[in-house]
Amino acid sequence: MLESGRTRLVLIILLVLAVALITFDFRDGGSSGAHSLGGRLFGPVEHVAGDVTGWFKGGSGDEISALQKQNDQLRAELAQAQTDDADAAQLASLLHLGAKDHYKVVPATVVAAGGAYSDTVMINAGSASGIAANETVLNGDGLVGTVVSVTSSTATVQLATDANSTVGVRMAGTGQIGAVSGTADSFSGSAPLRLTLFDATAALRPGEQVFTFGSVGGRPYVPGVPVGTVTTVTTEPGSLTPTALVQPFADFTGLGVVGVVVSK
Amino acid sequence: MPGEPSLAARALVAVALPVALFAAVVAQLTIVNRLPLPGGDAPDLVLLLVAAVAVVSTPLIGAVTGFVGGLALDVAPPDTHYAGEYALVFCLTGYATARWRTALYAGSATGDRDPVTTLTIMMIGVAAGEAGKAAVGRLLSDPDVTNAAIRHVLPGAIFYDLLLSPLVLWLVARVAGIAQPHRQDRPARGELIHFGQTATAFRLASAGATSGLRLAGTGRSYLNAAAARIEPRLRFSDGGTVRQAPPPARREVRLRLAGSGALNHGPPPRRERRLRFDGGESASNVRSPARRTPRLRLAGRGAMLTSPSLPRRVPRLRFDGGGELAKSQTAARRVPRLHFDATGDLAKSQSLPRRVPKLRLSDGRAGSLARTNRGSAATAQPLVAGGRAGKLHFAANSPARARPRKVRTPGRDWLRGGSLVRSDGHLRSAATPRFSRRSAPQWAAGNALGVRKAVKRRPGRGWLRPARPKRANWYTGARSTSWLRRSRNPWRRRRERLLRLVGGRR
Repeated sequence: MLESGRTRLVLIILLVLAVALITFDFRDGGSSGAHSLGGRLFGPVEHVAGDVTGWFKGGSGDEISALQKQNDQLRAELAQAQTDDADAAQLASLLHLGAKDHYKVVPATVVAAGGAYSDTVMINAGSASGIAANETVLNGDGLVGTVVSVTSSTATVQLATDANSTVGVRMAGTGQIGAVSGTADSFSGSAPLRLTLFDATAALRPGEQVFTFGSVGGRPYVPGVPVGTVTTVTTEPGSLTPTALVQPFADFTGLGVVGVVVSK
Repeated sequence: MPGEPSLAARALVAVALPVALFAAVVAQLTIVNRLPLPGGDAPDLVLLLVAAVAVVSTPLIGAVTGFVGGLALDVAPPDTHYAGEYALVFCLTGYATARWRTALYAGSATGDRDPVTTLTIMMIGVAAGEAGKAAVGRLLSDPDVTNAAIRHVLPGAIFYDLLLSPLVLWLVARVAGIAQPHRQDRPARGELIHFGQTATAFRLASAGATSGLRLAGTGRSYLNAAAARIEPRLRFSDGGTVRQAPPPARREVRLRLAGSGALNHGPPPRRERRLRFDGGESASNVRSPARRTPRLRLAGRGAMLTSPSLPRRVPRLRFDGGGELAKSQTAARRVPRLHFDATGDLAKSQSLPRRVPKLRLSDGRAGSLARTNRGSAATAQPLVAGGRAGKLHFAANSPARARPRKVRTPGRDWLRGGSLVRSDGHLRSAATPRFSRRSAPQWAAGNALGVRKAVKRRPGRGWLRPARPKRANWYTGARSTSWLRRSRNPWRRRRERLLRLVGGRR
């Protein structure tokens, strides 16, 4: 009886504590001190564990990963160069972009992944490598996501397929602008991104490519990173904005080496 | 004590739990979530560990483990849901799972643990935990937790969890078994048989008295033991034959024909209106042939009985003894000694004189009931005045018989009237109670069994209040004094509940 009473007391305390934590975190928008504490506590361990498992997974992965990192860096620069070549002047005037070497790509490896419902990963580079929050993450195929939180040695990346993520994009051919958001349905695989154009009269055709539009100061997204290809136009009759499903270039289920575009 | 685990073992287990929790969180995030499993789902190692720990330990440990594990999963970096979501869900899961398991085994004193039941509880707890994760995310309107995502994630996650739960439970039980006291080994085969016999006898003995009694140390599961208490068994002292409840033989009177000895289950024919003389020399005076006049005997007893299907208007007259007794005291009145044995309704017999049969007395004279009654009016008057009393005794050698007896209702136990003449033909003594109110044995009386059905224990009524143990049990006959505190005053009860909640007072 006494034991049971104590158990219930502890249970009630724990439940109240959990509800209080949820409340505080909800008020802070999911970035309360609890997360930073957890990052400091679990970050290094996951860093090491992810490196160990990556070492087991990749075998002699040092050289390969170095080459991959270099490749990613080159591809990122190439994508940027292509964008600049396409309409460099227009973009520069529009986005107030500086020179090409304004950006630098920090390579990192995915060491941990979030739970079933959230599309977030953790990379093994943090503020010690110059990474800060709201920086673009890409890999050799295209856009991956953006950094949402950072510790000294790790950073949490919100993937573009996450339902919280919205990326400003531009159509490759027509230059129409719009937004790509995650659908929280990335598990079905086919088309985890949803494109919405801002111009009601713009025409959408399957096969068109989508690039990032860019943000002020390159945060959270730098311009010109390829996002994906339009697969299905889902515009409904009478709707104000044309919509489509976009198949991303990057394979979000098998992320390995990524690059973080840091500002110098 | 040799069965107690050592301090080192306990410390090992106490350290192993947080370490395992931490390792589960890290492994979940770095390995399991990144595995390209079919369906894109992944099991939840932390939830599995919490449920397994809860199911082999107490609710307190289960709740604390669930809270810590869930909170670790909440704040560990890659996950971005609100801190406290999984802590809430896992805490409830751990508590409820352990509470359920505890309540299920609360009644077994032997401490038997059924692994399949434990695993089932754990599986249900894990599935509920997965559903709770989705539910809390949906409640907080997490944009990641949409209906489509739940539909896709939940079945696969539960599937992988159920797949892994036996392994996790086995591991946890192995580690937890280090710190638990060693149980006695199962007895050998011979011992088991001996204990089994003892258990059977004990169960039989306690069949009616103590339904909550358990046998300790027999190695028998309480589940099997409970089944025998539902149906009482009868053990005979001679052969040890155990059979089910005895047939309801006493409900139907079996008739035996005097001549042939054949059993006659049906009612006697309607012509059976004659008065029969029972006894050696009286039988010769019976006018009817013996075939048509079966004597009624309860099978196996030899006692004279009146069948319920006999017409009630015919009292059974019996000449008791012989002529020598009739001569002794009542010779002056020349009244034959008549016994209305069972419950013949004399008043009705008188009102229907047509049906009164002829009576042949032992001294050879023919008589009738009316005449007989007239002749013994002085003795029989109080009985007749009583209305329904049909008992007419002319017992010369025992004046107590002439005393008006207690009126007997024909409906109740008129079947069990004892005969004055014993089965060996001798007269019963006056001290012998002729009408023994012999009730049926307890176990033969339909549903009036003194056996309570075995009732499965349930957890408490409210989720906050535990199952209240009985205040007094069968061997401590005294009631506890808790009724003093449990009065009807609602504020008193509220205060008691609050004190109980805080744990200050029992």
